[in-house]
Order: sequence, then C-alpha cells, then structure tokens
Amino acid sequence: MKFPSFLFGLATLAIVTSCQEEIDLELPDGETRIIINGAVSNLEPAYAHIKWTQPYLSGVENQPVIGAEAYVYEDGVVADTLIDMGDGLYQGDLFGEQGKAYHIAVTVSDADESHPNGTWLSHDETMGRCLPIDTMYSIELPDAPFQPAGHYVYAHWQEAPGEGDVYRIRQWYNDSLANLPYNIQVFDDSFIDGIVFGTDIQPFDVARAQEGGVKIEFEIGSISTGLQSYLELIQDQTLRAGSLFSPPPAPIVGNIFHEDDENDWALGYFYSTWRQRAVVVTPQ
Amino acid sequence: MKQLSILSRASFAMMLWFLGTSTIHAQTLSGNVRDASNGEDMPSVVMTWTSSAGTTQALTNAYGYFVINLPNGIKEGTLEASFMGYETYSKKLTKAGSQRLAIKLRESVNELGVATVKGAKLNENITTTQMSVNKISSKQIKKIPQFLGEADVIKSLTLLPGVTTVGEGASGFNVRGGNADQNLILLDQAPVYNSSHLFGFFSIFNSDAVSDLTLYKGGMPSRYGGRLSSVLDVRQKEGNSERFSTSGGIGLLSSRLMVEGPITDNVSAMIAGRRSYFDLFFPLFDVDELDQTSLYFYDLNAKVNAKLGDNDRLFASAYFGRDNVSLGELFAFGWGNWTGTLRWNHTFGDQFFMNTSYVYSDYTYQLGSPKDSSGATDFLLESRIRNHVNTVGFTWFANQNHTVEFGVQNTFYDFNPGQITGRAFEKTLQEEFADELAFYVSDDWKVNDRLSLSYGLRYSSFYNLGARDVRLYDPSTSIISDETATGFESYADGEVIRSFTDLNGLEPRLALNYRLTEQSAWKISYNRNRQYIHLISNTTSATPVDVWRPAGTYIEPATVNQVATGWNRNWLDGVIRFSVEGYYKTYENLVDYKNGADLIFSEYIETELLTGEGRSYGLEFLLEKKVGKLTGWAAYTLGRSELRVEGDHFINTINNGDWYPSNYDKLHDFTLVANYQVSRRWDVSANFIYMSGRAITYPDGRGEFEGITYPVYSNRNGARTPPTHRLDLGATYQLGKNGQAGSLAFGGYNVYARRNPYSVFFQQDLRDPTNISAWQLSILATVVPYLTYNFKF
Repeated sequence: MKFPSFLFGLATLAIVTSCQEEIDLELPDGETRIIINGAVSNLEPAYAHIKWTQPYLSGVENQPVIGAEAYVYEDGVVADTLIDMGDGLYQGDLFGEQGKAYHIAVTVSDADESHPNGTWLSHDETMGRCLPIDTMYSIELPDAPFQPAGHYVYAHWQEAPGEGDVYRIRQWYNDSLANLPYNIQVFDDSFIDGIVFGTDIQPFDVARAQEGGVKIEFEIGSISTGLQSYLELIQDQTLRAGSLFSPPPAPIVGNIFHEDDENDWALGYFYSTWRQRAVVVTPQ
Repeated sequence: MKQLSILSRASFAMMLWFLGTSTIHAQTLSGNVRDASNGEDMPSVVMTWTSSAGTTQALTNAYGYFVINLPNGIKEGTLEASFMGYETYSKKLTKAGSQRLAIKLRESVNELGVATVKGAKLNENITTTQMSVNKISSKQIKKIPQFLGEADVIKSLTLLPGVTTVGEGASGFNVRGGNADQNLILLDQAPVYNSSHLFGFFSIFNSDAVSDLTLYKGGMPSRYGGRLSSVLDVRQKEGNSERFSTSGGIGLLSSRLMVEGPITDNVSAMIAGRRSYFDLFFPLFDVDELDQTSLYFYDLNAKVNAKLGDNDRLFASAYFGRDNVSLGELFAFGWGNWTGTLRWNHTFGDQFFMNTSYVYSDYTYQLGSPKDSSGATDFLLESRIRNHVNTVGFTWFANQNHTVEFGVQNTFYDFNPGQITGRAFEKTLQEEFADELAFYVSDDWKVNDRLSLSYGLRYSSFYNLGARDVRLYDPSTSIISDETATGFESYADGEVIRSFTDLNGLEPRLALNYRLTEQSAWKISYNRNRQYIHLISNTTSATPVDVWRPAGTYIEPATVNQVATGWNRNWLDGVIRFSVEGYYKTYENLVDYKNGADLIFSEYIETELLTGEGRSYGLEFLLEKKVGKLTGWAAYTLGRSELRVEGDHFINTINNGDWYPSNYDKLHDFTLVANYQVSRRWDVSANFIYMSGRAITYPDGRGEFEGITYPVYSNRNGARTPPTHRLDLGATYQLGKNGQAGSLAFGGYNVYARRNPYSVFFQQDLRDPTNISAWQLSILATVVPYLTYNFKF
C-alpha cells in the first residue's frame, strides 16, 4: 500500500508558508548506462526501445543504440528477432500467449569504446490473465466539493477470481496517452479478489473530461509483481521527491542485467501483458 | 540462563566489595527538597553538610530525595541546600542522631524579577560524574522565541549541542548522529512513540504541564535502556500543594489552560489541556474544499500526587493527545498517544529509596474514508503499539562514598501493525508480541575529593512471542523476498519465536570525573546500549503512519558503543559554565531499507529491510549563563554521522557498500539563545541558528520508460543542500502590577525571512521530458509572527 502523500502535502500547505523556487544547479555526469524498454502483448507485436542515458540536466534526448542485436525468447526458446527501425526502436512480430514466459536478450558490440558493451538479459515474465471490460460509459455531473463539473467516465469490470493477479491501467485522451508519472496506476487483487467493479463496489472512475466530444480510451492489462514494483518505484522517485515525507532517492532497477555480472543492471524493463481495451466519446 | 547466573554473581560480588570498604554510619540526614511556591519536588539540588570533620555533598535524586551519611560522633554542623535561581537554605543542626528534613526553597529574584545567586557555589556539574546531559526547565523553554509562540520542548532541545533535526517542520530529533527512533522519550516514565503534533510542527508536550526535562546524550545511567542514542526524561508537574493556581495562554492558532492545587492537606493535583484551531480560519479562504477540511490537535495532561505519611508517596498521571485531519468525505486521518503512570515511592529507613511503577502506553493511528457517501469504498486502516511497563528500582545511600541503584524492569509489547476494515474488504496483519526484561545495578563512588566514578551494568533480554505464523525463506540465498519464500512455521500463543538472551545483552556503563580544580573537571564515559524495537520508516522525516516492529526472526537488535570525554569549567561559582565534549559512536545492526521499499501495510516487512552499520563522531562546545539579567547559551557542534550497508548482492547493498552520510549528518551546528531582562515589565529574547546543509542525493543520469523520464541515482546522499540559518526574536510584556494581569508574548520566527532549503528536487516539463529544472523547497520561507496572551492566577 502506498503512502497518501497528497494528504500530507495538503496538511503541510495548510499549516505553513512553504516555498518552492527554481535554482541553478550543476550535476555530476554519471556513467553511461543502457536503457532497454520493451514488451510482448496480445495486442501489439513485440518491441523494444534501446537507448543510452544522458546527463540528467543536459536537455539532450537519450541517444539511440544503433546496430544492437535483440531477440525475444518464449519459454526459453528464441521466438522473435527485433529489427532496428531507427531512433532506438527495435520491432518484431511476436504476439504473446497467456501462461508463457518471455525475456529479451540485447547484445551491443564493443566497436564503440565510449559505451558499455556485451549482452543484457531480462528475467522471464510470465504473461498473466485479464478479463474483458464489461462496459464503459460517461455521465455528466455538476460542480460539488471535491467534484468539478464535467463528464465522468466509468467502467465495469470483473477481477479474475483467484489471488495473485496484478494489473496496470492506462488512458488515452483523444489518442494521447496519459501515462506520465502522475497517471501510473497499478494494483493487485489482494483486497479485491474476484470483485466486480460496478456491482460489488464502485465502478472504475476512468477519467473526467470538462468538455463533450472527447475520445477516451481505457486499457487494463495484466502485469507481473516485478513491473508493479518498478512502476511504483518510478512514481516514488519522480513524484514523492523533496518533501518532508519523501523516500530516499534510489536507483530504479528493472529486470535487465548484464550477462556477465548480475550486479550490473540496465535501465528499463521488459515485460509481458495481456491487455483489454474499451473506448467512449463523451457526448457533446 | 547461564549468562544470567554469571551476571548475578558478578553483581553480588560487586556489592560485597564496596560493603566491605564502607564504614557503618549510625546517623543520616535525609529528606525532601521542594519548591516553596508550589511544593514540586526539586531534583539535582546541591546538599552540603559542613562540620568539624569536613564537608560532604550530595544531590537530591529525581524525586527530590537526599541522604547524607554522617560519621559517628558528629553532633554539630550546617546543612545547606543550593539551587540555581533559588535562595540557599541553611540550617545549623546541633542534635545528634538521624534526622528527616522537609526543605522548601524559595526563588531568589531581585527588584527586576531576575533570578540571582546569593552565596551559593553551584558547581554540581563539576562534582557529578554525569556528562553529556542537558537539563531545561519549563521556565527556560517559555523564554525562547518559537514558531507561532508555542513553547515547544522538542524544538528547544534542538538548540542544544549535539541535537539536530532533519529540517524545519521535521518530526523528532537526532542526537549525536542517531536516528529519531533511537531516542527514548519518557513522559512520567511512560514511553512516548510519537512526540509530534501536526507532522512535527509542534511537540506533544504542553509546557504548562511540564515541570522539567533531562536529555541524556551519552553515559546514560544503567536504569535507562532500550534505545541507542538518548533518553529524554520529561516530568509533569505534580500539582501545586501550596495553593490553587491557574495558568494558560491564548495564541493566534492554539490555546492552553492548566489548573493545579491542593485537594487535601496531603493530596494535590494538576490538569492541563491544549487545543489548536487552525481549521476555524479555513472559511476565510473561501475555498469549498477547505470548508470541509479539519486540521487540529488537542491534548490533556493530568496528575495526582498523594503523601501517605513520611515514607510513602503515590502518583498517578496520564496524558492523552490526538491529531485529526479530514478532507470532507474523502479522507480522515488521526493519530495520538495515551499514557498512564502509577508510581509509588517508599523509603525504608533513611538509606533505602524505592521507586516502583506501572506504566501503560498506547500509540494508534487511523486512516480511511469512513464517510464515503455511497459506502462502497469505505475503509479504515488502523495501526497500534501498546506497552505495559513494570519497574521496581531501589536507591541505597550506603555511605558517604557510595550510592547504589539497582532494579528490574519488564516491558510487554503488543504490536498491531495494521488492520483494514471496509464494506468491500477486510484484512489484518498479524499481531506481534514481545517481552523485554532488564536488570540493572550501578554505584556512584566518590573515590576521593578529586576522583569520582559511576559504574554500572544493565542486562537486557528480549523474547519475540507467538501466536504468529512466521514466513520462511530459502536458506541458500541471502535475498529475502517474496520470490525466495518457502513456507510458514506456526507458533502458539505465548510461545517463544526467538529470544535474545546471550551476553550481547550486557550493557556496561561507566563514567569518571576527575576534579582538576574547584571550578573545573575532566570527565570520561562509556556506554553500550541495545535497542530491540525499530521504527519502520523510509522517509526523510518520520511520519505518523510509520510503525514500530520488534526484533525477531529476521530483525536483529541494534547496539551502540559510545565513548565520550569532556572538560567542564565554571566561573562565578557556576553562574557561567563552559564545557567541551568529544564523542565517538559505533552502531551495529541498524535497520535500513531496500531501494524502493514499500513499508505501509506490509505483511512481510523483512522482505523490505536491510541491515547496516553506522558511526558518528563529533565535538560539542557549550557556553551558558544560568542566572542574571542576561541568560542563555551558545552551542557549537562539529559532527559526522555515516552509514554503511554492504551485502553480497546489489539488492542488499547501498552505494556499493561504501560509507555514506546519513540524512541527519550536519557538519556544523551553531546556536545562540539569549534572554535579557530589560525591566520588571519587559524582557527580550533571541535565537540564532546556523547549520550545515543536510545530505541529499542528486541524479547523475536520465532514464526513461514509455515516455516517462526519471532520474538515475547511484550515489546516495552524495551532495548537500545549502546551509540553514535563522534568527528569531521575541519579547514579553508583563501586564498589571507585577504581571498579575498576565503577559503578552510577541515576536517573529525567521525574522529576516530566510528561505532555508529543506531539499532540492527536480521537475520535468510534461510536454518535453528532457526539459528538467531544479527546485528548492523551503518549509518556512517567510517571517512567522506570533502573539500570545499568557496568564497566571
């Protein structure tokens, strides 16, 4: 369970005259690390974005890794070869299946001495399950305390009976993905095993649109406990930073490590997910 | 049990040894010293007996009791009782035989109402072996200008050398490089698990109800144990036994009231209350959400004190405090302590003093949305820790050279780490039970006129008890995680899950004082302390939702060894005092957390923990003036506090296993506290503080995940925030003749509006994740004025 940071934020603001001001800061340049982000799912073919890190305040985008070899394994056997499509995107054509385990192997040659080289392997991720979304609809609600006026979108969905499932939710507003740190939503079924959202408890509060005519797409997908921890850590380290009640800064380590040294970790995460989606357009 | 047997034999042998070296005394002078204005017991009063055989000195104990053993044949002499700011009591005694005295000391004030010293030599800091101790009275605390004018015990402590906080608004305090959970905070002997109101902006101690406090930073007497870094012993007023009186204050955002007085000739009582009312001003902001928001704290203190003849006194005291925060129907959040103490003091003859007590302590928090309109997502998360503490302690004033303390203490813990109830779901984390048993013995030995020694031993043992199902992990790996879990082992109610009864429970204490001159002394001390419970907190400052967990199958007790040495020098018979102390501490089995640990409502907390070691060292300087028109102190600490977590896997390692600064590592810490009595009506006061910036972690690279940019950290606490400094000014004006109509206290906190950095953090442009800016957070970024009307009838 995560800390209710907004509560403390409000309380603190109510008590004191706190102040945030922008400052100039020079940061040390750390070692360059490889970033590998990718997935296997039921809706899109396997892919990976492979890049090199840049200094934090450089203002320069992370640079693509060119010419890497990337293979996706299914239950320990090579199932797909990812092709360098440019700008760090490596694309394959594999779709995942529930119950099968996937991992990626990325090899970077030692031709460029300014970057680390070798092979990085991700841990196996078994594709979980996720029941379809029953229904999704919007309701227009008036202004009220803690409830600005607007179109509220709700979804009904049943969590699969049997404990151990973990999910991630994503939303798109007019085809624009809203999954920045503020929108990362992950949960497990430890308190809601088999629960029907919309019948047993409130439906999913998917989104709010101030205006009509907004296309809202909702996705719920199975993920591993490892990706759940990884995403929660990203949230912690990006949103809960700098306050009285912040956790200490920590390296965000995913599930990808150098083949020759398990203590040498890559940035990023390679995961498998079974996704369900629904779309609604708020009335004009 | 073998170790216990060795311990008892050693203690017995020690007792026999000094008994053999003592002489038999047929006569004693004993009694109690109390404040004449309110009948309160006065600890640390210097008792001096002067006769033809020489001079003998003793101090009153924590309960105002003293014993002076007289050599046989002495019939005449003079007894003096001296205490800073009080008239010296002097009485010529001509009668042979033991005598029991009841002494009352009167405050010594001049025409300005300023405390003075007349003829007394107040050098108890030179004669006592105790070092690394600071005492502050409620009167002193009230003269310090503070945030919103609320006289604050904890904030006052942070003005002392060796005591710091993580930053403004942080809860708790850090002593000599120790974490906030390493402080044993006692309120009338009851342990307090959260000393803060409103997330750390106020302490739970109502200054009207507090009599005095003592902070032990090192060389703790062996009667104290259970925490590594310090003991803060806060005593509530006992209730004015001389007359009824009422005092209180009305401030801008909180008010308080205290009533005390005699109930009968032998019974007195005190009751005090305090409440804040920030939330009453929310409607002025004309924000709907604030209309439904509440944010307040309150607390109640009470104490009854009964004298049952010459040899017995009974005390009953209680504290109840609560914080409440709620946001309409969305969230409600509350936390608080309640403690109760029953204490019986008895004297056997003149030389044995017994203090026996039963203490109950209870800390709870609740968090939830209990009033959700639909009821569908109602939930309430509760957590609790309860204690039952039984103590029997004796002081034996064996002879003029030896004072022996010994006793036993048993603490039963009931940890309820979490329970969630709601319409849709319910879940309860397993309760944990534990028992801590400790024995202690110590001897204050005056070897000769120059050398005195205090040596003692505490032995503590700890039992983690069932009923409980303990999860087991693969023994072939050092990684404790959900993935390495292999099963469970069940323990019955009361069954010992794990015990800590070996020789590591020995906690020797030693303090030595060598008096160089009448006005100076050199001291050295050593103490080893053990701590069996840990506050599970992975935030910069402790929060009300942090839970305490005991040592057990996977959590080891932490230990510290501390060596300190110092030099004390007095001038003007103790009116001006200077001390310098150096200390070095090493810690073992400190609890730290895996990167990204998720601690709240964690069923298997061991999967989130790491174990490390620590060290801290420093020099403390303190120059203080105790009485006169100008009083106050200047303190400077040069210190370091470092940690190391080194495992066989990067998951179990922080900063590659290298030493790194703790969050509360502050190299320089300077404070100046001054109060000047301008006239009978006016006094002015000021504080100035300067502290090095705290350790902070800066990113050295930029990672990304599906459009989210995040910082890459590889060097924890490798950088520093800019330094903190602040000036607070205050004044008090007495109303009416001799202040009979009360007084007005007003002033400003942070008068030059310094934006002290609490932290530096980073924000990214949501449309351009590569555009990242650095920001500094200041908690109190402007002048905070205050105005309080204080009264006393």
